[in-house]
Amino acid sequence: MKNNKFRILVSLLIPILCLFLLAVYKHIKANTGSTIILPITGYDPRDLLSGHYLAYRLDITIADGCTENDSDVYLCLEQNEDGSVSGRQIARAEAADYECDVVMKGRCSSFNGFTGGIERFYIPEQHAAYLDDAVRKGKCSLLVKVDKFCNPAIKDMLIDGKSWKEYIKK
Amino acid sequence: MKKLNRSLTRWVNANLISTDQMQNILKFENGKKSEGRPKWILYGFLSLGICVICIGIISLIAANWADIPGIIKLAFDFIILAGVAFVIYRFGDSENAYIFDGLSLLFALLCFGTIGLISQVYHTGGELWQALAVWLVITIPPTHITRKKLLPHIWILAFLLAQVLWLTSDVSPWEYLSSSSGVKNIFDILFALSFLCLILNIVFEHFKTTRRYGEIFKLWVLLGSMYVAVAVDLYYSILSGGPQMESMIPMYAFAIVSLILLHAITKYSVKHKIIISIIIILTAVIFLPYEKLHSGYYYLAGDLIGASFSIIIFLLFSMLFILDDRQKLFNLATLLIGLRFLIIYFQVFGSLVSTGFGLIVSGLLIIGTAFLWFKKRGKFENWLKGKIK
Repeated sequence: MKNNKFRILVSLLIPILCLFLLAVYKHIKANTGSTIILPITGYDPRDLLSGHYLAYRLDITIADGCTENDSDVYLCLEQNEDGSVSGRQIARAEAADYECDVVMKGRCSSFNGFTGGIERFYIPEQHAAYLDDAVRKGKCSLLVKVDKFCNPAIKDMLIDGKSWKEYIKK
Repeated sequence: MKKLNRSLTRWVNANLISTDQMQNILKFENGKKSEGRPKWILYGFLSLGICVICIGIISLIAANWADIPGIIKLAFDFIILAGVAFVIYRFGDSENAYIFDGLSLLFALLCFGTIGLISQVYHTGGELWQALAVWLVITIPPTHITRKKLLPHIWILAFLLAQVLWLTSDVSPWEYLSSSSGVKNIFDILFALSFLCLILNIVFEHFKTTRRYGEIFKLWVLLGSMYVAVAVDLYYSILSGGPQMESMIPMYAFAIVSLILLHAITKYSVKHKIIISIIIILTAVIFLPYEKLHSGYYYLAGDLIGASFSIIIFLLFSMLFILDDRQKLFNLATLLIGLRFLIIYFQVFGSLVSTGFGLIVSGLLIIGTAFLWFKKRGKFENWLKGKIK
């Protein structure tokens, strides 16, 4: 009986521990590394599991284009004075040779262009239409953290340079 | 119960049984009813209630309460998860398997909700199949400790759903095999998955600790076979283009593995093995002459091949059901054979159906088939039993 109870305890702790580690990993990823602000454009679908989200494209001007299907690429990103971001494809080993603000990993495809796996921002249902409108008008950008392995994670969404929560309150 | 009452009264009137025997039978059947059914009803409602609660919790998560910081939402979620785990642990000794399993189901579905919440708080852009994949891995232990089959059923359903979503997604490895992409490959993907279910059925049934998963996969093998019979028939009878042979490679690979496993590790009788082998081989080779038969001079042969294939598959299954003494499934298989014969008529004389004469003939044929079905089914069953038992 004692063995059975121990088996049940371990079986229940494994998923809790895995989910906890997943949450901690995502938290660390979203709060460490270099920061860059990326302009976005997009629309508003919804996800049955996690609710409304904004889907968009990262508005990055890439010097040599990014249309080679589904290959991992590293972009050397530079934040321009007008807020726009430009990038060029580099080999990861050569990152130190360039003066990049941030080196970010992603994928290229002929259909979507460059994607960094950060093309979703979850938002509350009641503000969905308003935020969607702001994205469509090109007012939005993303505050992104990029870790030492060049993986990006969203820290916040900015509207006219302010956090969307502050913007909504205003 | 009314039907039993009527039958018993008829038997008493025909002096086949006495009134005392009738009363004893009724008493026995009533007792059996009150023992079995309410628990299943309770189990059903318990599961339904838990699923509804979990959908409610997931909806609350999905509503995205922006004023509550993400870290507080996550902390609250983990406290609920740990609380449910603690209650399950306390019920670990309980004799009541229904409550233990109900709570385990609640726990597993809450784990899925937690994945959604983490995704929402940290804005990860994953797909549903990825969330399902994480859920499937982390819920193996809690699924394994349950005593009934409800959570294993849901786990296996999620496993198959994740496979379908992954294989029809943008990152599907199937794209290397086929010139089509996404859901266009669904026909061929389901062929391969049907055989994968057969492999998993054989492997899981082989080991004592995983036997109940094997039994669940058997249900999916049956559904998969039904799909295979109908899909092959459709390919040959209706669809204009056949499958690409490269896209069928996984199915061939799984078919070979399942044949080897069937003869190497299962304890089925020789007759079982022969019938299942014929089904596997027939399904695997049916597409090999497709291109030749489905073009030019041979085009008409397509209708015949499609119909013959599905009728033979249903016939082989009816033999398997006789070997296993599964009367209802046998009836279903033979009913499908009758139905397919009827469809052949519509395929061959399709233009007649639009005329009054055609409708009269069709009506007569339906009545005739139904009559033959009820009249000859028993004889067919006895003949088949004599042949294969």
